[in-house]
Amino acid sequence: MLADSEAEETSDSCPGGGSQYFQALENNGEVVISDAVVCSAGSSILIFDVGYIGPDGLFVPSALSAMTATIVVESGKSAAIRLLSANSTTERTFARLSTLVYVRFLDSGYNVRLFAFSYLKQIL
Amino acid sequence: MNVKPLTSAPLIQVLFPAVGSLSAGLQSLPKTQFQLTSSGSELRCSRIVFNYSSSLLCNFSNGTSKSDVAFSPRAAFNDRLAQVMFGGSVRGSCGFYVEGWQFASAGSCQIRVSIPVLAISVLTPFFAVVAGPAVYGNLIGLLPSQVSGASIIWSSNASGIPCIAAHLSDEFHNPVLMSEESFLLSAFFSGTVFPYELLGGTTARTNSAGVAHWCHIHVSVVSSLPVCLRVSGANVNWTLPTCINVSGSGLATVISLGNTSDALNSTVPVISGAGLPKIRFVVSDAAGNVAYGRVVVIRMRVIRTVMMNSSSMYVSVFRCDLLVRLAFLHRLPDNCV
Repeated sequence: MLADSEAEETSDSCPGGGSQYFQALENNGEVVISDAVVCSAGSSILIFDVGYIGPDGLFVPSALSAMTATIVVESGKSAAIRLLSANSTTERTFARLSTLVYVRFLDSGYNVRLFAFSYLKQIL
Repeated sequence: MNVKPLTSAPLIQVLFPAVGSLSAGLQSLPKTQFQLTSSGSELRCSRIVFNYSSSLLCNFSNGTSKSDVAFSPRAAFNDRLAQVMFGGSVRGSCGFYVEGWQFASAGSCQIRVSIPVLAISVLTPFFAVVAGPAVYGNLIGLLPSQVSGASIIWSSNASGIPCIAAHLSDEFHNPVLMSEESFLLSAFFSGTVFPYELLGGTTARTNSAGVAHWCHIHVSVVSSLPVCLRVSGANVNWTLPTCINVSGSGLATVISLGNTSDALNSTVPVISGAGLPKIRFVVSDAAGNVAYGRVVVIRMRVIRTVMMNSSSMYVSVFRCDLLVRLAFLHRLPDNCV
Protein backbone atom coordinates (compact mmCIF):
# COMPACT_ATOMS: atom_id res chain seq x y z
CA MET A 1 0.00 0.00 0.00
CA LEU A 2 1.52 3.28 -1.03
CA ALA A 3 1.01 6.56 0.76
CA ASP A 4 -0.59 9.40 -1.20
CA SER A 5 2.75 11.04 -1.74
CA GLU A 6 4.31 7.82 -2.99
CA ALA A 7 4.21 6.38 -6.47
CA GLU A 8 5.74 3.29 -7.97
CA GLU A 9 7.74 3.83 -11.11
CA THR A 10 6.53 1.93 -14.13
CA SER A 11 8.04 1.37 -17.54
CA ASP A 12 5.59 3.99 -18.80
CA SER A 13 6.68 6.64 -16.36
CA CYS A 14 10.34 5.65 -16.56
CA PRO A 15 11.82 4.40 -19.84
CA GLY A 16 13.74 1.21 -19.15
CA GLY A 17 12.62 1.37 -15.52
CA GLY A 18 9.69 0.11 -13.50
CA SER A 19 9.89 -3.43 -12.11
CA GLN A 20 13.18 -4.90 -13.22
CA TYR A 21 14.20 -8.55 -12.90
CA PHE A 22 17.64 -10.01 -12.30
CA GLN A 23 18.54 -13.68 -12.25
CA ALA A 24 21.40 -15.58 -10.68
CA LEU A 25 23.47 -16.46 -13.73
CA GLU A 26 25.47 -19.33 -12.30
CA ASN A 27 22.94 -20.57 -9.75
CA ASN A 28 25.52 -19.90 -7.08
CA GLY A 29 23.25 -17.80 -4.98
CA GLU A 30 24.73 -14.55 -6.25
CA VAL A 31 22.60 -12.07 -8.14
CA VAL A 32 24.10 -8.95 -9.66
CA ILE A 33 21.92 -5.91 -10.16
CA SER A 34 23.40 -4.02 -13.07
CA ASP A 35 22.15 -1.24 -15.33
CA ALA A 36 19.04 -0.84 -13.22
CA VAL A 37 17.27 2.38 -14.08
CA VAL A 38 15.61 4.85 -11.75
CA CYS A 39 13.95 7.98 -12.97
CA SER A 40 12.09 10.20 -10.54
CA ALA A 41 14.27 12.96 -9.22
CA GLY A 42 14.12 13.19 -5.46
CA SER A 43 14.11 10.50 -2.85
CA SER A 44 13.10 6.96 -3.72
CA ILE A 45 13.05 3.56 -2.08
CA LEU A 46 14.44 0.58 -3.89
CA ILE A 47 12.57 -2.58 -2.92
CA PHE A 48 14.07 -5.96 -3.67
CA ASP A 49 11.78 -8.98 -3.75
CA VAL A 50 13.10 -12.52 -3.98
CA GLY A 51 11.39 -15.26 -5.92
CA TYR A 52 11.45 -17.35 -9.03
CA ILE A 53 9.79 -17.50 -12.41
CA GLY A 54 6.75 -19.75 -12.35
CA PRO A 55 5.64 -22.16 -15.09
CA ASP A 56 3.47 -19.43 -16.56
CA GLY A 57 6.47 -17.15 -16.90
CA LEU A 58 5.38 -14.82 -14.14
CA PHE A 59 7.46 -13.82 -11.14
CA VAL A 60 6.45 -15.73 -8.01
CA PRO A 61 7.72 -13.97 -4.89
CA SER A 62 9.04 -16.01 -2.02
CA ALA A 63 9.90 -12.94 0.05
CA LEU A 64 8.53 -9.49 -0.56
CA SER A 65 10.69 -6.56 0.48
CA ALA A 66 13.60 -8.82 1.36
CA MET A 67 15.72 -5.70 1.32
CA THR A 68 15.02 -2.00 0.87
CA ALA A 69 17.29 0.97 0.36
CA THR A 70 16.69 4.68 0.12
CA ILE A 71 18.41 6.55 -2.66
CA VAL A 72 18.54 10.15 -3.83
CA VAL A 73 18.08 10.67 -7.53
CA GLU A 74 19.26 13.81 -9.31
CA SER A 75 18.00 15.06 -12.61
CA GLY A 76 20.25 14.29 -15.53
CA LYS A 77 21.07 16.35 -18.58
CA SER A 78 18.29 17.33 -20.89
CA ALA A 79 17.65 14.56 -23.33
CA ALA A 80 14.28 15.33 -24.87
CA ILE A 81 11.71 18.04 -25.23
CA ARG A 82 7.97 17.91 -25.15
CA LEU A 83 5.64 20.47 -26.72
CA LEU A 84 2.43 21.21 -24.90
CA SER A 85 -0.37 23.65 -25.48
CA ALA A 86 -2.34 25.35 -22.77
CA ASN A 87 -5.65 24.33 -24.21
CA SER A 88 -6.87 22.45 -27.23
CA THR A 89 -7.99 24.80 -29.91
CA THR A 90 -8.37 24.42 -33.61
CA GLU A 91 -5.77 26.50 -35.36
CA ARG A 92 -5.77 27.56 -38.94
CA THR A 93 -2.79 27.17 -41.20
CA PHE A 94 -0.76 30.26 -41.90
CA ALA A 95 -2.73 32.13 -39.26
CA ARG A 96 -1.70 33.56 -35.94
CA LEU A 97 -1.90 30.98 -33.12
CA SER A 98 -4.43 31.63 -30.42
CA THR A 99 -3.05 29.26 -27.79
CA LEU A 100 -0.05 29.38 -25.55
CA VAL A 101 2.57 26.72 -26.36
CA TYR A 102 4.87 25.24 -23.74
CA VAL A 103 8.13 23.41 -24.21
CA ARG A 104 9.40 21.06 -21.54
CA PHE A 105 13.02 20.01 -21.52
CA LEU A 106 13.24 16.56 -20.01
CA ASP A 107 16.12 14.42 -18.87
CA SER A 108 16.21 10.74 -19.82
CA GLY A 109 14.16 9.93 -16.72
CA TYR A 110 11.41 12.32 -17.83
CA ASN A 111 12.19 14.84 -15.12
CA VAL A 112 11.55 18.42 -16.18
CA ARG A 113 14.83 20.28 -16.50
CA LEU A 114 13.64 23.46 -18.10
CA PHE A 115 10.32 25.01 -18.88
CA ALA A 116 9.61 27.52 -21.62
CA PHE A 117 6.54 29.00 -23.21
CA SER A 118 5.62 31.41 -25.94
CA TYR A 119 3.01 32.14 -28.54
CA LEU A 120 3.87 30.80 -31.93
CA LYS A 121 3.21 33.23 -34.61
CA GLN A 122 1.81 30.76 -37.08
CA ILE A 123 1.55 27.14 -38.14
CA LEU A 124 4.02 26.53 -40.95
CA MET B 1 -24.64 -62.90 77.33
CA ASN B 2 -27.61 -60.82 76.54
CA VAL B 3 -27.56 -59.55 72.98
CA LYS B 4 -29.98 -56.81 72.18
CA PRO B 5 -30.66 -56.31 68.50
CA LEU B 6 -30.52 -52.84 67.04
CA THR B 7 -33.89 -51.41 66.28
CA SER B 8 -32.57 -49.35 63.37
CA ALA B 9 -29.58 -49.93 61.06
CA PRO B 10 -26.67 -47.62 61.72
CA LEU B 11 -25.25 -45.31 59.08
CA ILE B 12 -21.68 -44.72 58.03
CA GLN B 13 -20.71 -41.11 58.17
CA VAL B 14 -17.76 -40.04 56.03
CA LEU B 15 -15.30 -37.43 57.20
CA PHE B 16 -13.61 -36.70 53.92
CA PRO B 17 -10.65 -34.34 53.80
CA ALA B 18 -10.72 -31.47 51.36
CA VAL B 19 -8.58 -32.80 48.56
CA GLY B 20 -8.57 -30.91 45.30
CA SER B 21 -6.94 -33.55 43.22
CA LEU B 22 -4.37 -36.26 43.66
CA SER B 23 -1.60 -36.93 41.17
CA ALA B 24 -1.44 -40.52 40.02
CA GLY B 25 1.58 -42.25 41.46
CA LEU B 26 2.64 -39.19 43.41
CA GLN B 27 0.12 -38.07 45.99
CA SER B 28 -1.48 -40.35 48.56
CA LEU B 29 -5.00 -40.29 49.86
CA PRO B 30 -5.11 -38.31 53.09
CA LYS B 31 -6.75 -39.80 56.15
CA THR B 32 -10.39 -40.47 55.36
CA GLN B 33 -12.49 -41.37 58.38
CA PHE B 34 -15.68 -43.35 58.63
CA GLN B 35 -17.91 -43.30 61.67
CA LEU B 36 -20.85 -45.53 62.50
CA THR B 37 -23.80 -43.55 63.73
CA SER B 38 -27.26 -44.48 64.79
CA SER B 39 -30.38 -42.44 65.26
CA GLY B 40 -31.05 -44.30 68.50
CA SER B 41 -28.80 -44.45 71.51
CA GLU B 42 -28.44 -48.23 71.51
CA LEU B 43 -25.11 -48.26 69.53
CA ARG B 44 -22.46 -49.28 72.05
CA CYS B 45 -19.22 -48.62 70.27
CA SER B 46 -17.05 -50.12 73.00
CA ARG B 47 -18.59 -53.50 72.44
CA ILE B 48 -18.89 -53.51 68.68
CA VAL B 49 -16.94 -55.81 66.35
CA PHE B 50 -17.17 -55.74 62.56
CA ASN B 51 -15.22 -56.15 59.33
CA TYR B 52 -15.26 -53.65 56.52
CA SER B 53 -14.16 -53.69 52.90
CA SER B 54 -13.32 -50.80 50.61
CA SER B 55 -12.90 -50.41 46.89
CA LEU B 56 -12.41 -47.74 44.29
CA LEU B 57 -14.71 -46.76 41.46
CA CYS B 58 -13.99 -44.11 38.86
CA ASN B 59 -15.46 -42.25 35.91
CA PHE B 60 -12.93 -41.66 33.16
CA SER B 61 -12.55 -38.80 30.73
CA ASN B 62 -13.49 -41.05 27.80
CA GLY B 63 -16.97 -41.41 29.29
CA THR B 64 -16.54 -44.89 30.72
CA SER B 65 -16.90 -45.94 34.34
CA LYS B 66 -15.36 -48.78 36.24
CA SER B 67 -15.75 -50.23 39.70
CA ASP B 68 -12.96 -52.18 41.31
CA VAL B 69 -10.27 -49.92 39.94
CA ALA B 70 -6.79 -50.98 41.01
CA PHE B 71 -5.01 -48.97 43.68
CA SER B 72 -2.13 -49.43 46.02
CA PRO B 73 -3.30 -49.17 49.65
CA ARG B 74 -0.05 -48.73 51.50
CA ALA B 75 2.86 -47.95 49.22
CA ALA B 76 3.87 -46.32 46.02
CA PHE B 77 1.79 -47.73 43.21
CA ASN B 78 3.23 -50.87 41.75
CA ASP B 79 1.46 -53.26 39.42
CA ARG B 80 2.43 -56.22 41.58
CA LEU B 81 1.13 -54.62 44.76
CA ALA B 82 -1.99 -53.17 43.23
CA GLN B 83 -5.31 -54.51 44.42
CA VAL B 84 -8.98 -53.77 43.93
CA MET B 85 -10.20 -54.42 47.46
CA PHE B 86 -8.94 -53.44 50.86
CA GLY B 87 -10.46 -54.62 54.11
CA GLY B 88 -10.00 -54.46 57.82
CA SER B 89 -11.42 -55.50 61.15
CA VAL B 90 -12.62 -53.08 63.81
CA ARG B 91 -13.10 -53.97 67.45
CA GLY B 92 -14.43 -51.78 70.24
CA SER B 93 -14.83 -48.66 68.11
CA CYS B 94 -17.36 -47.11 65.77
CA GLY B 95 -14.69 -45.31 63.77
CA PHE B 96 -12.08 -46.45 61.31
CA TYR B 97 -10.16 -44.86 58.50
CA VAL B 98 -8.21 -45.47 55.33
CA GLU B 99 -5.23 -43.46 54.17
CA GLY B 100 -2.11 -43.58 52.07
CA TRP B 101 -3.75 -45.08 49.02
CA GLN B 102 -2.00 -44.36 45.75
CA PHE B 103 -3.73 -44.37 42.42
CA ALA B 104 -2.76 -45.15 38.87
CA SER B 105 -5.86 -44.33 36.85
CA ALA B 106 -6.80 -40.69 36.28
CA GLY B 107 -10.48 -39.97 36.66
CA SER B 108 -13.18 -38.78 38.96
CA CYS B 109 -13.27 -41.36 41.73
CA GLN B 110 -15.03 -42.43 44.91
CA ILE B 111 -14.26 -44.94 47.60
CA ARG B 112 -16.98 -47.38 48.51
CA VAL B 113 -16.89 -48.76 52.06
CA SER B 114 -19.10 -51.68 53.03
CA ILE B 115 -19.79 -53.40 56.34
CA PRO B 116 -21.27 -56.75 55.31
CA VAL B 117 -22.47 -57.79 58.73
CA LEU B 118 -24.59 -54.69 58.97
CA ALA B 119 -25.46 -54.74 55.28
CA ILE B 120 -24.57 -51.08 54.91
CA SER B 121 -22.24 -49.20 52.64
CA VAL B 122 -21.29 -45.65 51.82
CA LEU B 123 -19.60 -43.72 49.03
CA THR B 124 -17.20 -40.91 49.65
CA PRO B 125 -17.61 -37.69 47.70
CA PHE B 126 -15.88 -37.62 44.33
CA PHE B 127 -12.26 -36.70 44.22
CA ALA B 128 -10.07 -36.23 41.19
CA VAL B 129 -7.10 -38.35 40.32
CA VAL B 130 -5.05 -36.50 37.73
CA ALA B 131 -2.17 -37.67 35.63
CA GLY B 132 1.27 -37.39 37.08
CA PRO B 133 4.14 -35.72 35.28
CA ALA B 134 4.68 -36.59 31.64
CA VAL B 135 7.04 -39.48 31.14
CA TYR B 136 6.12 -40.93 27.75
CA GLY B 137 5.52 -39.41 24.34
CA ASN B 138 3.77 -40.76 21.31
CA LEU B 139 4.09 -38.94 18.00
CA ILE B 140 0.92 -38.17 16.10
CA GLY B 141 1.49 -38.61 12.39
CA LEU B 142 4.83 -38.97 10.71
CA LEU B 143 7.85 -36.73 10.37
CA PRO B 144 9.56 -36.31 7.00
CA SER B 145 12.84 -38.16 6.59
CA GLN B 146 14.35 -35.51 4.33
CA VAL B 147 13.84 -31.77 3.98
CA SER B 148 15.79 -28.82 2.67
CA GLY B 149 17.35 -26.16 4.86
CA ALA B 150 15.03 -23.79 6.75
CA SER B 151 12.05 -25.95 5.79
CA ILE B 152 9.08 -26.37 8.03
CA ILE B 153 8.69 -29.80 9.61
CA TRP B 154 5.42 -31.16 10.89
CA SER B 155 3.70 -34.42 11.67
CA SER B 156 0.11 -33.28 11.80
CA ASN B 157 -1.84 -30.40 10.32
CA ALA B 158 -5.21 -31.55 11.60
CA SER B 159 -5.90 -28.09 13.02
CA GLY B 160 -4.93 -26.44 9.76
CA ILE B 161 -1.58 -25.44 11.20
CA PRO B 162 1.50 -27.53 10.51
CA CYS B 163 2.69 -28.80 13.87
CA ILE B 164 4.71 -31.55 15.42
CA ALA B 165 2.06 -33.14 17.63
CA ALA B 166 2.48 -35.74 20.35
CA HIS B 167 0.44 -37.36 23.06
CA LEU B 168 2.21 -37.02 26.39
CA SER B 169 1.35 -39.41 29.19
CA ASP B 170 2.45 -40.17 32.71
CA GLU B 171 4.06 -43.38 33.91
CA PHE B 172 0.66 -45.09 34.02
CA HIS B 173 -0.15 -43.92 30.49
CA ASN B 174 -2.72 -41.43 31.62
CA PRO B 175 -2.81 -38.51 29.17
CA VAL B 176 -1.30 -35.40 30.72
CA LEU B 177 -4.10 -32.88 30.28
CA MET B 178 -3.65 -29.11 30.33
CA SER B 179 -0.16 -29.32 31.67
CA GLU B 180 1.28 -26.44 33.62
CA GLU B 181 4.69 -27.60 32.57
CA SER B 182 6.08 -26.53 29.21
CA PHE B 183 7.86 -29.13 27.14
CA LEU B 184 10.87 -28.21 25.08
CA LEU B 185 11.35 -29.51 21.57
CA SER B 186 15.03 -29.56 20.71
CA ALA B 187 17.26 -31.20 18.15
CA PHE B 188 20.69 -32.71 18.03
CA PHE B 189 22.98 -34.20 15.43
CA SER B 190 22.44 -37.94 15.28
CA GLY B 191 25.01 -39.92 17.21
CA THR B 192 26.34 -36.84 19.00
CA VAL B 193 25.41 -34.63 21.88
CA PHE B 194 25.80 -31.48 19.81
CA PRO B 195 22.65 -29.41 19.59
CA TYR B 196 21.09 -28.41 16.30
CA GLU B 197 19.13 -25.18 16.07
CA LEU B 198 15.41 -25.31 15.44
CA LEU B 199 13.52 -22.19 14.41
CA GLY B 200 10.02 -21.46 15.72
CA GLY B 201 8.11 -21.96 18.93
CA THR B 202 9.93 -24.80 20.63
CA THR B 203 7.93 -24.90 23.86
CA ALA B 204 4.43 -26.26 24.23
CA ARG B 205 1.95 -27.38 26.86
CA THR B 206 -0.57 -30.16 26.47
CA ASN B 207 -4.17 -29.36 25.67
CA SER B 208 -7.35 -30.85 27.08
CA ALA B 209 -6.73 -33.98 25.02
CA GLY B 210 -3.22 -34.44 26.34
CA VAL B 211 -1.63 -33.38 23.07
CA ALA B 212 1.26 -30.95 22.79
CA HIS B 213 1.69 -29.02 19.53
CA TRP B 214 4.93 -27.42 18.44
CA CYS B 215 3.88 -25.38 15.44
CA HIS B 216 5.72 -23.67 12.61
CA ILE B 217 8.94 -25.43 13.48
CA HIS B 218 11.71 -25.03 10.91
CA VAL B 219 15.00 -26.80 10.61
CA SER B 220 17.96 -24.47 10.20
CA VAL B 221 21.27 -25.21 8.51
CA VAL B 222 22.07 -27.95 6.06
CA SER B 223 23.77 -30.88 7.79
CA SER B 224 25.71 -33.93 6.71
CA LEU B 225 24.45 -35.79 9.78
CA PRO B 226 20.79 -36.63 10.34
CA VAL B 227 19.03 -34.40 12.81
CA CYS B 228 17.06 -36.03 15.61
CA LEU B 229 14.36 -34.41 17.73
CA ARG B 230 13.81 -34.68 21.43
CA VAL B 231 11.06 -33.62 23.81
CA SER B 232 12.19 -32.85 27.30
CA GLY B 233 10.57 -31.82 30.55
CA ALA B 234 11.04 -32.39 34.24
CA ASN B 235 10.40 -36.14 33.94
CA VAL B 236 10.46 -36.77 30.23
CA ASN B 237 13.36 -37.08 27.84
CA TRP B 238 11.86 -38.62 24.74
CA THR B 239 13.64 -38.93 21.40
CA LEU B 240 11.22 -38.88 18.52
CA PRO B 241 11.23 -41.94 16.26
CA THR B 242 12.42 -40.28 13.04
CA CYS B 243 15.66 -38.45 12.38
CA ILE B 244 15.67 -36.01 9.48
CA ASN B 245 18.21 -35.42 6.74
CA VAL B 246 18.56 -31.69 6.09
CA SER B 247 20.10 -31.27 2.66
CA GLY B 248 20.13 -28.44 0.15
CA SER B 249 19.11 -24.86 0.73
CA GLY B 250 15.46 -24.07 1.25
CA LEU B 251 13.20 -21.46 -0.25
CA ALA B 252 15.19 -18.34 -1.03
CA THR B 253 13.85 -15.56 1.16
CA VAL B 254 16.81 -13.58 2.41
CA ILE B 255 19.24 -11.39 0.54
CA SER B 256 22.38 -9.78 1.81
CA LEU B 257 24.82 -7.45 0.19
CA GLY B 258 27.83 -9.05 -1.46
CA ASN B 259 31.36 -7.93 -0.84
CA THR B 260 31.69 -5.47 -3.66
CA SER B 261 28.38 -3.71 -3.24
CA ASP B 262 28.74 -0.18 -2.02
CA ALA B 263 26.13 1.46 -4.18
CA LEU B 264 23.43 1.18 -1.57
CA ASN B 265 25.63 2.64 1.12
CA SER B 266 26.81 5.50 -1.01
CA THR B 267 25.71 9.05 -0.30
CA VAL B 268 26.39 10.07 -3.90
CA PRO B 269 23.10 10.75 -5.68
CA VAL B 270 22.09 8.55 -8.57
CA ILE B 271 21.55 10.25 -11.91
CA SER B 272 18.06 9.86 -13.29
CA GLY B 273 17.77 7.58 -16.30
CA ALA B 274 21.30 6.29 -15.96
CA GLY B 275 22.01 2.78 -14.72
CA LEU B 276 22.57 2.21 -11.02
CA PRO B 277 26.05 1.15 -10.02
CA LYS B 278 26.34 -2.65 -9.78
CA ILE B 279 24.88 -4.21 -6.67
CA ARG B 280 25.88 -7.74 -5.76
CA PHE B 281 23.47 -9.76 -3.66
CA VAL B 282 23.86 -13.14 -2.01
CA VAL B 283 20.57 -15.01 -1.76
CA SER B 284 19.91 -17.54 0.96
CA ASP B 285 17.09 -19.27 2.76
CA ALA B 286 15.75 -18.14 6.12
CA ALA B 287 18.46 -20.07 7.95
CA GLY B 288 21.31 -18.54 5.97
CA ASN B 289 21.97 -21.46 3.62
CA VAL B 290 23.20 -19.89 0.37
CA ALA B 291 20.88 -20.76 -2.49
CA TYR B 292 23.33 -22.83 -4.50
CA GLY B 293 21.84 -24.63 -7.45
CA ARG B 294 18.58 -22.75 -7.28
CA VAL B 295 17.23 -20.48 -9.98
CA VAL B 296 16.64 -17.30 -8.07
CA VAL B 297 15.23 -14.06 -9.38
CA ILE B 298 15.30 -10.67 -7.70
CA ARG B 299 12.70 -8.11 -8.64
CA MET B 300 13.59 -4.47 -8.06
CA ARG B 301 10.81 -1.96 -7.62
CA VAL B 302 11.24 1.78 -7.24
CA ILE B 303 8.92 3.78 -5.04
CA ARG B 304 9.24 7.54 -5.27
CA THR B 305 8.80 9.04 -1.83
CA VAL B 306 9.83 12.68 -2.24
CA MET B 307 9.80 14.56 -5.53
CA MET B 308 12.49 17.10 -6.17
CA ASN B 309 11.29 20.58 -5.32
CA SER B 310 9.70 22.25 -8.34
CA SER B 311 11.49 25.49 -7.54
CA SER B 312 14.46 23.94 -9.25
CA MET B 313 12.66 24.32 -12.54
CA TYR B 314 13.46 27.33 -14.65
CA VAL B 315 11.09 29.42 -16.68
CA SER B 316 12.20 31.32 -19.75
CA VAL B 317 10.61 32.99 -22.71
CA PHE B 318 11.80 31.93 -26.12
CA ARG B 319 11.29 33.38 -29.44
CA CYS B 320 8.70 31.44 -31.32
CA ASP B 321 10.84 30.66 -34.33
CA LEU B 322 13.45 29.06 -32.03
CA LEU B 323 10.81 26.90 -30.39
CA VAL B 324 9.74 25.49 -33.70
CA ARG B 325 13.29 24.46 -34.43
CA LEU B 326 13.75 22.94 -31.04
CA ALA B 327 10.71 20.74 -31.47
CA PHE B 328 12.45 18.79 -34.20
CA LEU B 329 15.63 18.12 -32.30
CA HIS B 330 16.01 14.67 -30.78
CA ARG B 331 18.59 15.77 -28.28
CA LEU B 332 19.30 19.24 -27.00
CA PRO B 333 22.85 20.48 -26.81
CA ASP B 334 24.27 20.65 -23.28
CA ASN B 335 24.35 24.43 -23.28
CA CYS B 336 20.61 24.44 -23.77
CA VAL B 337 20.11 23.85 -20.08
